[in-house]
Amino acid sequence: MDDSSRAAGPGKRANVAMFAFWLLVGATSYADSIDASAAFEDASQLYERGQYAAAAAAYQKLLGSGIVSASTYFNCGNALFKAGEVGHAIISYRLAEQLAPRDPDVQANLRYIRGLVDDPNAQPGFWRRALLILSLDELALLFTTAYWTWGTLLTLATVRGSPQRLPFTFASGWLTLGFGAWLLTSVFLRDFRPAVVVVPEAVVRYGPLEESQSHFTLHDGAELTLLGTKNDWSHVQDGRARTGWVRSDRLASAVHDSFLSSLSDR
Amino acid sequence: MFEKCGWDGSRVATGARILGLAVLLLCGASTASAQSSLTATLDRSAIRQGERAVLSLTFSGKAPSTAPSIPPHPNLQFSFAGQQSAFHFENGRQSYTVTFNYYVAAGGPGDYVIPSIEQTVDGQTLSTQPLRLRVLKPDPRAADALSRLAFLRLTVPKTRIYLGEILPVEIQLFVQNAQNLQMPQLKGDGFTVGSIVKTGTSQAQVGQSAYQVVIFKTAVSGAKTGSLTLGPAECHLVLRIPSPRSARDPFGFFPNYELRPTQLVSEAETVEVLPLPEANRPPSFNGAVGDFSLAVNASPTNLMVGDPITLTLQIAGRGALDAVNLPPQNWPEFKLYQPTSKIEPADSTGASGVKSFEQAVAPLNADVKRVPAIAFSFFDPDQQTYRTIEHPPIPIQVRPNPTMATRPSALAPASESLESPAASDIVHIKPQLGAITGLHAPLIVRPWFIALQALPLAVWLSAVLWRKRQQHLARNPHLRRRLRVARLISEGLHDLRRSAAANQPEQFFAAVFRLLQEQLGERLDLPSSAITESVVDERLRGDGAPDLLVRDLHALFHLCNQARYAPQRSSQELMSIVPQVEATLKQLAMMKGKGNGR
Repeated sequence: MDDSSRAAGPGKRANVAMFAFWLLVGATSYADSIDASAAFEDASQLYERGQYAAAAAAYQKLLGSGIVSASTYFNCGNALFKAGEVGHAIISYRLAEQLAPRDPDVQANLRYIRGLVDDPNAQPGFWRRALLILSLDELALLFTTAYWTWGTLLTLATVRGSPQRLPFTFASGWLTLGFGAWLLTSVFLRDFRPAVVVVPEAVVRYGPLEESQSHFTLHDGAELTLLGTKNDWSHVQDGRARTGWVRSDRLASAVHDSFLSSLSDR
Repeated sequence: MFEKCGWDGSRVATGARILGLAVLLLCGASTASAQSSLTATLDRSAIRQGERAVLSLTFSGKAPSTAPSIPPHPNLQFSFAGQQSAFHFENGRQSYTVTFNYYVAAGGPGDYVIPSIEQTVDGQTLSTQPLRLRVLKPDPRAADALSRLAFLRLTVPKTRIYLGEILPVEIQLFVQNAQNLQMPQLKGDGFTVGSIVKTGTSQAQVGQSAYQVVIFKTAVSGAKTGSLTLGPAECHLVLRIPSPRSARDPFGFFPNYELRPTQLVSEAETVEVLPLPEANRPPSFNGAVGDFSLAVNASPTNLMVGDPITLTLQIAGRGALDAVNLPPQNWPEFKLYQPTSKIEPADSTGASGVKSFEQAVAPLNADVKRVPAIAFSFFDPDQQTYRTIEHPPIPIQVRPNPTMATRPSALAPASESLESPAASDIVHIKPQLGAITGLHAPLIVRPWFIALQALPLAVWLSAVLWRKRQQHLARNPHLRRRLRVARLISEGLHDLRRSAAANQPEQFFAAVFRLLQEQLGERLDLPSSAITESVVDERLRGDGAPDLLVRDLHALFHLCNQARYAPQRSSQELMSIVPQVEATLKQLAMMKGKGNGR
């Protein structure tokens, strides 16, 4: 073996080792995704066989292990609805909506289920739906793209001492402002404290005491806004701006961890 | 005096009189033009037997010349306590008030009504509203009160209320001399206690002692039924307790009182909270307790199908307004939007006021002729019955909207709907797992994302600063030359060391000469090629350069000249010259230059 071959030997070995490492990583990921897909399939088969409660438990297990996707939430919502748990189904659909705000199936099922709920839920108006059509991350990426483009064009113009591609600079500037405003509005419009009744009936009282007089009664699936908590009680507001106190264990929050915890406790 | 100034004193006096009369007439006219009124107030709404309240009759505008007489009352005694008058200037308008004060005492405990008092002034009859006064049993601690400098009293107008009923509560602080008074606290297990506000002060006599009375008010409501204890009220303050003048302080230089922090505690009251009756409860009742009125407004009333009507409901009156809710609306002919509400309290305790609801409703078809009647039910604790007040339907005119497909009217004959059939079931499950996103907080709250957004700004600011520096340099050629020379010298010194190490005396001394030319040329604002040794004496010495520097420069030039004729030098010799060259150039650079780039 000559010197050039000897010199190339260690480098070649390093390349091979690197390739093997990434192959292993890819293979592991692929194996994980196969496991996840298999588990998803199993849960779906339970649903197809009409074993809705078991299907809901299987989807819950997937979500608990970190296999979180819009489809998992959506299917879990279907299984919960079919199993008669309207409130939990609504939460599951709302979590799916956060990941896929434009999915027509999620919107359709939410609309359908909300129509079945006895209590008036807050139905988002046209402008609210329009402004929430993109997820927060999508808006953030759009804003960042416009902002970085604008920053780059401004920097080039400053360095060269003359405006570069002026129409593009203006356009990117306005896009940055527009997306920024949309992002801020979207943050304020999103109800970060949503709560849903997950029991057949929940009595809302005037005060956070069992002895307090009952104010009104809500049913499974009623969507509320959480105003505050005190001990085991939650201060809530419904779609008709009525406020009152309800026991916290009658509600579940449209947040992943709270949702799973509520499913486990039922 | 005016004569001394050359003015006619009598004419000045006459003019002053005329001016004064005009002012008085103007005041009188403006006062007379103000509408006259009479109001009656009590300093306290509740007193103990043996105490006296103060009834004030305030005339605004015209007032009688003598104190009005109070009609006799079988259980109350009135005695005149004095009068006071005052001018008020507000918003450019002037008003004049006269207040007649009367002490009111009761023969025994009970609830009394001071009837309306009428008084005729200049042919105009003025009258007051009736006033309520509650007289409680004598304070069992009254004997101690004589020796106490302060005490706290909790007063409630009644001890039987209904669940959700607002109960106004008064906390009276009787104090002779105190400071650092803090807002009282009221305990109330089973009650919802509103904010406590200070509403006024007055004077009171309890036995032989005079007290200043500070009055606090709040509103409470029962959160549960049963016999509940309201209070006690507690108040922290610092009493000033008189102490005999010390013999060591005969002239009273030091205060003759001691400060004692004290917590006053009132008695508690037992309040019976009754449940709302079940009988005759209207179906539209949704929890309001009190005495209310309803006003409804709808606008516009001429519109097209689908256009919103803004419905404004105002529920005004006395009671817990936050428990007042929008009356239920079952209006299938309308699309209802989410309502908003706001409360405007009429008093500081929030026991009365107005709650306004605003809701948008849209007619769904052109057959709608009216906004339906709105009924509001509440429980009136004074009448102990449920009441329902109804606002009649509001006629509207709805025109067809050519841009909308209208919903079939419930009044129209059954026909096929133009809309697609409603969904009968949920959409089926998704077959694929889809993209696994995992759970993560939104990008906008992640620190790295936020930090990343600072980068374009930082780069742009750096570019701006760089641009500014370039422009500054472009405008200042002397500064440019100075920077260039500094750079040349830094590189030149490196070359010197290299030449010295390589034992290249010709290149070494050529570089020394060149560096001296550049630095001298920059400092003297002369072309570097025109610099010779003679410049040191001709220009530098004359500019006040230190003698040491001039001597060093001459030495270096001399060395350079010598090198032309005797170029042989060892490397160490050359290297030993470098520090000298560096020091001389540094001294030159620190000199005040001729150019602007100093």
